[in-house]
Amino acid sequence: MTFNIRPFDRVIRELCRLPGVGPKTAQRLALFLLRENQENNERLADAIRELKINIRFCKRCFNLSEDEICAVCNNPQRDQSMICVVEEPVDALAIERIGEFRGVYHVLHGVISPLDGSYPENIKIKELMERISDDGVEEVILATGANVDGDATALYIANLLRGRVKVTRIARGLPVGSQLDYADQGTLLKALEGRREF
Amino acid sequence: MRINHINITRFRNLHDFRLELSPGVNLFYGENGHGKTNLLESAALIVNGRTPRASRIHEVVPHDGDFAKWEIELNVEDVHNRVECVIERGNQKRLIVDGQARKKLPGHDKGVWALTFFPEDFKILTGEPFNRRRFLDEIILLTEPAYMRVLKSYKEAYAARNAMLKSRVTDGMSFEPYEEILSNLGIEMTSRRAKATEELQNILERLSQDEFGDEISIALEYKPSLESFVRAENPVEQLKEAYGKSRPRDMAIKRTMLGPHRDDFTSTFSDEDIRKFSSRGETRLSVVALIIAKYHILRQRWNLNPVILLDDIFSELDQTRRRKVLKALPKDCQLMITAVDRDLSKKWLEGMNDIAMFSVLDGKINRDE
Ligand SMILES: [Zn+2]
Repeated sequence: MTFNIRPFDRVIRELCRLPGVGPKTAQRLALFLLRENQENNERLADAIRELKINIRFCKRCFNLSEDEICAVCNNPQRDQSMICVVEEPVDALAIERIGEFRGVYHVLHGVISPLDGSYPENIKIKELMERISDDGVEEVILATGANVDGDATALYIANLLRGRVKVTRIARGLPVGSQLDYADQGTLLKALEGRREF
Repeated sequence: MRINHINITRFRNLHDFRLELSPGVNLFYGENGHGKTNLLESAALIVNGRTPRASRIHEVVPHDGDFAKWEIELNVEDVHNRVECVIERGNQKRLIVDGQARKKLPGHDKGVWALTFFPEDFKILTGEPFNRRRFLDEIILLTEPAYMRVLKSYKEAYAARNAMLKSRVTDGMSFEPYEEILSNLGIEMTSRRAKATEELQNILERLSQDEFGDEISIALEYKPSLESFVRAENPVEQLKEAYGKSRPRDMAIKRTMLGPHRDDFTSTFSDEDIRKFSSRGETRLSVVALIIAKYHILRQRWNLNPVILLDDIFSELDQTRRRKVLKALPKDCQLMITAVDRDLSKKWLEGMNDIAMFSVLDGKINRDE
């Protein structure tokens, strides 16, 4: 649906690219922005513009970072021999919020999912393997989601690492099919503490 | 559990009436096409959350209206809940329990449930195998709601492996994780279905002994797709290996062949294959027997009496068999039954307690004086 008012349609088109935003929602958001005062809109535009300039992915763990190497990877107090593998930056954030995990992360940026055309080469598995050969890693904790794709991704990585390092999988206490960031902290801590060797 | 009242505003051709039901037998009589089945469907839709008929849920909205709306008062161990259901054209079904919007009926995962027989259920025995898989899975789900996760995960892993078979991916490393998941879940589904079939079989045998008599013997035999694996020493490992070996063939046809998605069970009536040799009456009797067996399994699990909805259960049965079916029906459950003829049905029900008769005419239902 277009209004044939170019600046308006352009905003709708751009908003539609966002995950979870359909044409109807995009239209509503665009109307909201149209009524909003100019100053607020500029602030939003600035924030979006600066996102990619000031934030990048950590070269080592691929989590969000302001510097080349993120604060977690750079922290000498963190145990570099223990890597927790997660699907997305939000998952690392969820574990970080518990404040109990002393190791470092590796963010895959996705999950193996043939139905969505996502295969091992589409996520940061190769990079994880490289880290393991250099860093003197002792344990890899697989904290991908408790669903079929999350399990398959964990199995794939475990098969690659078999015999090289200790590989563990977080326990099954999570709600069915859950993503880590939806689980509450207690559940997450239990899942992490109850991890088992593959 | 039982239904105290049904209050129909609009539902298919039914409109504007309120019924007080008997805790015992409720018989709805009238010519076909006046709304008997629709009434049973309205109760099933609230209690079970879905229509037992082949149609889609929006078809319950009347042709000349924009919505369907009806209400039942449910009585589960003396706790009363007023449950209203509204379906507007183009919108999701809405459930309102005591004035509060709800996703599910309270107690739905604890055996609150209606046992139904609709003519569509013939398909369990005479239709495609997926009808039989669904029948077994439903029994397992009703006794063990967590089985849903097994079914859902299996379906996802199956779809994922199929997607991979259609893609350019050929390396074993990529296939193995999904094959391991399929192996674990496949063996689990097979053993659960085997157990469910065995339980059904035991109950059917008991029914023959106690209620039906020797001349009626119904037997089931589960035919798992993974038959050769479940007997193996290490079924999951063996199955995983078999998935690996079957990859070239599966890639050629672009579909996973091995697994419980191809299960079936066979059924016999007096040692004859029902699909090939049985009459309509024998088939009907067998389906009803299966449904009674399902009741016993649930009863054992939850110790709750479901409401029993039987649509047109008596036709095609002779007098002796009709009597046997009535005798085999659970005694302590509320029944809602449909039939065409009032006086005949009344005679059939002789000896049963708390009988209420309802006339169904042109979308209106009235309780007889
Ligand atoms: Zn980092």
